[in-house]
Amino acid sequence: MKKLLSLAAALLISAGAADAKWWIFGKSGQDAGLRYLYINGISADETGPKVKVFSETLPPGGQVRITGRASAGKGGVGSVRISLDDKATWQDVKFSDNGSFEYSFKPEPGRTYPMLLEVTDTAGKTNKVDETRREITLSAENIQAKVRETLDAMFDAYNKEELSRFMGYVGEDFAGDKDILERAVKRDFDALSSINLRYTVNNVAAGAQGKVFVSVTYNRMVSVNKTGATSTDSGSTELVFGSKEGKLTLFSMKQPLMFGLSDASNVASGTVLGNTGTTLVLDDSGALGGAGTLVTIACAAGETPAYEFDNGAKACAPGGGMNIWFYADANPNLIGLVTTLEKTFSSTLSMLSSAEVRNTAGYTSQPSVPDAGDGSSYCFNYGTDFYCVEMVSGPTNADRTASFRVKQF
Amino acid sequence: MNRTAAALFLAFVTPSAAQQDQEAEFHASNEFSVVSNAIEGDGKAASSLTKGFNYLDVLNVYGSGTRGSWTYSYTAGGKATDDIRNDAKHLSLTNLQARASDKVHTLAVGDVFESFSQYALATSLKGASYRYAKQDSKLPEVTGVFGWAYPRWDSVWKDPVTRTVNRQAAGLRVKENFNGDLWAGLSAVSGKDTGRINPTDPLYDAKNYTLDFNYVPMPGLTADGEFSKADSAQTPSAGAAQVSANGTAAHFELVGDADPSRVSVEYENVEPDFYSALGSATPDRRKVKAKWRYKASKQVTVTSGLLWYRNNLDASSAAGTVRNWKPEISAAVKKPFASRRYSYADLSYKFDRKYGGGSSGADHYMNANYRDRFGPLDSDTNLGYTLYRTKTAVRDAKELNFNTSLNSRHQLSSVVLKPSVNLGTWYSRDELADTTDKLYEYSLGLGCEAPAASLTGDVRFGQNMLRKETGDDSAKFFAALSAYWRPKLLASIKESTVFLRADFNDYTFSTTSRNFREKSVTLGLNTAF
Repeated sequence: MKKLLSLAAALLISAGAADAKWWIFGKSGQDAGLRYLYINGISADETGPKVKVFSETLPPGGQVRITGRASAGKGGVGSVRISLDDKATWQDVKFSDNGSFEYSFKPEPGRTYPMLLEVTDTAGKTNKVDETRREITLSAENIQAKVRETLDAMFDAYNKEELSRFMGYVGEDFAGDKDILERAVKRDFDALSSINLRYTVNNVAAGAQGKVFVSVTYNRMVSVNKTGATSTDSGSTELVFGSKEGKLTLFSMKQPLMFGLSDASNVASGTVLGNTGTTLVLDDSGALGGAGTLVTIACAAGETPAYEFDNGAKACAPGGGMNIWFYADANPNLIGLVTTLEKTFSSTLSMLSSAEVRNTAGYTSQPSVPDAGDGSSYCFNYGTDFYCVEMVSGPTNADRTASFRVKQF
Repeated sequence: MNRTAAALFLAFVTPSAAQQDQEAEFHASNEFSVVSNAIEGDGKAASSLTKGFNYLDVLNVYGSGTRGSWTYSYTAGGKATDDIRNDAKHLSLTNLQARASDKVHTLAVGDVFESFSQYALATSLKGASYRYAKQDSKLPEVTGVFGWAYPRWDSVWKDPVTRTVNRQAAGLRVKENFNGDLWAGLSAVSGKDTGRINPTDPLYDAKNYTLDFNYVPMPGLTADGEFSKADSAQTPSAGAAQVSANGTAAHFELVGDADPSRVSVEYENVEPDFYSALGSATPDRRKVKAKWRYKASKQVTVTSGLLWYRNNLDASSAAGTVRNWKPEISAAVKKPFASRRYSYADLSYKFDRKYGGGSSGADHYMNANYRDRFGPLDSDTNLGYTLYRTKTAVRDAKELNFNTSLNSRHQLSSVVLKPSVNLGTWYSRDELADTTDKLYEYSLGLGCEAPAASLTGDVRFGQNMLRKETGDDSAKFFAALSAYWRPKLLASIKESTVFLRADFNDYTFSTTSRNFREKSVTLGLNTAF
């Protein structure tokens, strides 16, 4: 790491100190121009030609702030002018000795301002004005409406499995890495069909730095191509958007994930506090699973948590004790009561492979479910179906709540 | 707390207060909808819809104004529903914020989102923030923030349904702009959890100290980076011993952007013990990435890239280290056929190599996309081939995707019609299971725009059919209608939309006991003023 940082530092110093043009591919450093340009703190290189801003993300006073630095090669900077009406009128902009300048204006909602900047050096040469053109619009929408429009478009692209359209809503600076997310979404599309995602917004917060925080309650149904099964899950999750390029673009997502279920650990950057819903993940084989689906069943005193593998139904059965009952519709016998075969694996669900689980060697009929142990999985075989459970916490006499992960292989 | 929030909200939205302003504006929007869902069939338990009538209302208000040298703005929103799938709460506050500023000081309360930097603070808080920023001054910009990192307002007043771990947050950031070419920021953030809900909830007490910077050494070249040190303690569950951890995260990126090239080089190293309670980080990952986009001509753009990353940086995982190589190359060609003005082709090849930790795979992704216009028809065709090849008996499969769509636009008097056809197929040959699965899709649609009548609509139907060599075959037939009418209801209402959506989904399986049908009708009114 030190070597890499040293190399990068050397590169930067040499690039800044020398008249290094090797990387700018033929551009001359002698012409009048702009060293950089920012619109409300976002580099004009990243905004694209159209910049849409929202009242909620503007600095107090509702002003759009344009900052930059003019350069003039060997000569000095003579003047900096700005036009907000496509060159119809120009205003002088004050600049300092080193060429840096700042200009603010308060836009009207819904109006578009075609902005151009003109830099003239002391010899009378000007920059390529048209290259600075940006259309700045203060959206008449509120940020909540924009969030919903963006989420609707993302969910529509994901539901229709249109990868390039979906990735158009992901920022280059996506925290989990945009390329990792793209491959994970591609794998989602190969693994799933008939995707149906719905949501409502729980919370929206916009900051002056242009970022927008969104918390949603989601509800999802998918068909899994590998198994032919349908699956539903729901819960709440959080996303953060940036507002570059004239639209909201995804900056980060937390677990449970909406998109990129095939590589959840690399796509997500954090876990939502307080999510009590189930979580859908896809494993390397394209089947549902990964770390399994987290299931929590809270029962009253004197009841025992019960769970049906094949349809995910939860129940509280009469009778106490320390057991959790697990059963399947096709075979309503309780696990451990003779007819089912089971096997203990000394690894977590995420480490179990399908081939390993589906190898019936070592499966035996046990009189009762063994005690849960850390890092272990318990797998059950019903005919051609295999289910595995990893305990998180079991019920006690004082608290009749069972929490466990379940995965079908 | 809820009384405080209500008082704050009322203080800002009371009309009499707004009328005293020198310059004030107020906007509001509301969307109310009712939905009727019917689910039938033996397999209806698999549906994700809630049966019966339900409603959803979403309200938002926004206002701003000035008082003397101060400007202020406020925003508030709420949601009401009786469908637990929409929200666990019938009535909830979705946003609440008030902000006031003169040219130097900025104060915000309510929903506060001061995104210091990725590793330090990248989530919103329910609390307050203050920023000092004096223009044309060499004094640094200083931001302080305090609050709770709840994802929703109900959690603040500890509603039993949405109650969650109490995470208190505080942060301070100092940012200095040195000469216009270089700025740097120092942040200190603390996140402390109290009030466990479940015995198994882990509680954190984490502090992060972060330096981030941005440097433009010459036009078109930008360097930015971030280094963060985390000092955290975790109590995994009630009664468990506290575990301390220290870790660092670093990110550095160089971007050169000038025609005809854009080159970026990125390095990231997040140690396994790095924990950020309020930032965004993927722990235990070292990543190197390079990308070069080159506009070879006005028609041809070539993009190439290489992404490498690994985990298990402290070599503590018994499962071993997983390494990934992901090179890619793509070419986008405008007018590949000179005579075809609207033709566009995009070809890409991506490779994923993953090995270690009990897995080994080499996956190839190839994709070709072609768009063109043939007379009145716009076409978009995509052909993809994916080879999933593993050495650990996880997935050995060849998959082929083909999708094509035809769209057209016809003007009949004052009405615009937009018919469309989509066809698709997916073929998968799984060599491990020795099975072949096929998916066929089609849909037909007709969009309609009648601007004179302020009416837009769309009707669509189609089918997805999954044919499996072993296991249940399945099919989904769907039909959907949506219509939007924007009448002028009242002069004071800036915009209003009446909308109707109707959906029918019929899921059928080889095992007929799994079959079910969904019918859903939504009627709503959206108003803004």
